[in-house]
Amino acid sequence: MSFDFPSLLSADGAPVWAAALCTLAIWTFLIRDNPIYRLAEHVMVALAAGWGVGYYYYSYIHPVITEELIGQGRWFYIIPIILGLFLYTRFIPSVSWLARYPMSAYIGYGAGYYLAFNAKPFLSQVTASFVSFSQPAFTGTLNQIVFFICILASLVYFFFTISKERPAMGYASQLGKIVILIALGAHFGNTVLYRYNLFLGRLSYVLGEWMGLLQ
Amino acid sequence: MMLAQDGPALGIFTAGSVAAFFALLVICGLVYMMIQRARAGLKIPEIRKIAGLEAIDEAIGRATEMGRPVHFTPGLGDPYNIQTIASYAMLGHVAKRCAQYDTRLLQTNVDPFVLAINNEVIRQAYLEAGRPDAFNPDDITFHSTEQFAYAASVLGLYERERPAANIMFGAFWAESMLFAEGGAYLGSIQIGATANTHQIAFFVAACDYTLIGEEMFAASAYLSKEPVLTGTVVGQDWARIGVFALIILGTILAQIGDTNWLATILKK
Repeated sequence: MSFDFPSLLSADGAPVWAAALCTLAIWTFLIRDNPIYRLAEHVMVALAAGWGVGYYYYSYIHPVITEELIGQGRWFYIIPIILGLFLYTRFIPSVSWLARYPMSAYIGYGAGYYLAFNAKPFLSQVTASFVSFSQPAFTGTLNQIVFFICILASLVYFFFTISKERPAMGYASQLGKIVILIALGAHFGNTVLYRYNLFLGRLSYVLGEWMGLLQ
Repeated sequence: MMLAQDGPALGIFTAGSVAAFFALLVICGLVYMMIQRARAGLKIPEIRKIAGLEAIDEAIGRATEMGRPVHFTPGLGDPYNIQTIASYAMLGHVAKRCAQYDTRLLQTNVDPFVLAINNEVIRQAYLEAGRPDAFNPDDITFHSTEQFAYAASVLGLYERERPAANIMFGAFWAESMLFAEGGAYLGSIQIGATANTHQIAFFVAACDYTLIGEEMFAASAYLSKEPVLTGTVVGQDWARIGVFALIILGTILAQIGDTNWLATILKK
């Protein structure tokens, strides 16, 4: 086993060095906060900010102004542009109230969008809960009964206006809590495995692409 | 009601949207009715105690005693994400307590719009607490629109500022565990609340208190006792009870025969 680092000065090697060193710098946080981690943190935040400016300029601002507004004469695009510029008035105290208009328009659009499109999948979930217990195999029937009980118990857990001091409600709520925790446990295990996968991906990059140990 | 199989139903509804529209009308009607009753001072059902909510005041009190700041993050949600909207009310409550206790509040953001809104929310809370002089806009910070750049930046802030209370209330994704683990490492009292089911488990594992899903929407109403919020939660709860009854009815119908008219109507 021998190291086989790419050349730091080559066009292919330099990005590998940068990626590997940044990965190691971020991992130093496992020891404690330190100047190397801080350097990586600030580089990452600055790169994200710079990338964001470039991305939004070339994906939205430039095409809208040159192609839509000037090119095709869609002058109504001036309205969202003015609304967007209003956001910056928050830095001028005398007219900072103008910044509330784009924010209210944005939130209003979002709330309307959610209301229009979220009710449909919600009803699909309700109808998907209408299960038949009559199944070819006994295990299938048992599965559907467990599903039915679990879904009702989980719903009872989220009743906020019915007192849980009534024994039936209390037991149902407790069962609902257990069901939810089992589901969360499954999610947890699944995600931990996925995170291991991500970690192994980075480790593989450092050991293979950078150090050349995984040939 | 006769609906065409293809094309818009009743001339305006896309396929599968009729029942959703009327369900939405019923829920909105229930919420409106409860808000009106709450405003008029008429009796409406009380919201039950939600475990973990009292811990918020306790956590801020502990931070005050230790002379360390409180950190609040609404997660990565857009400003119109329903979880982010719920976080505004909670942030107002937390900011008001911090103003009353004269405790520093660090509020980090990933979205510039949310930053601007949170700025207003905190400013208003300090005004209501009678401490406008204590409001410091420099403690309300934008870090990055990129998920892991934001996470790395917040972890660095944890280490430098060492908040004694860490309140994570909103829409979280993969950064949830980074935040919760980072806070646990510092020994902060941590309260996590999200409706993103795939992230709740991480908050349960690493936080002292966790609000699961719908609990976070009820939390603001429970704390504030504000008629509009309380009426909204009660109205939604009644809708939930209606769904409970629908599921029982639909399942009974599913046992009787193959044709489940209720499911057919709900799929219109």
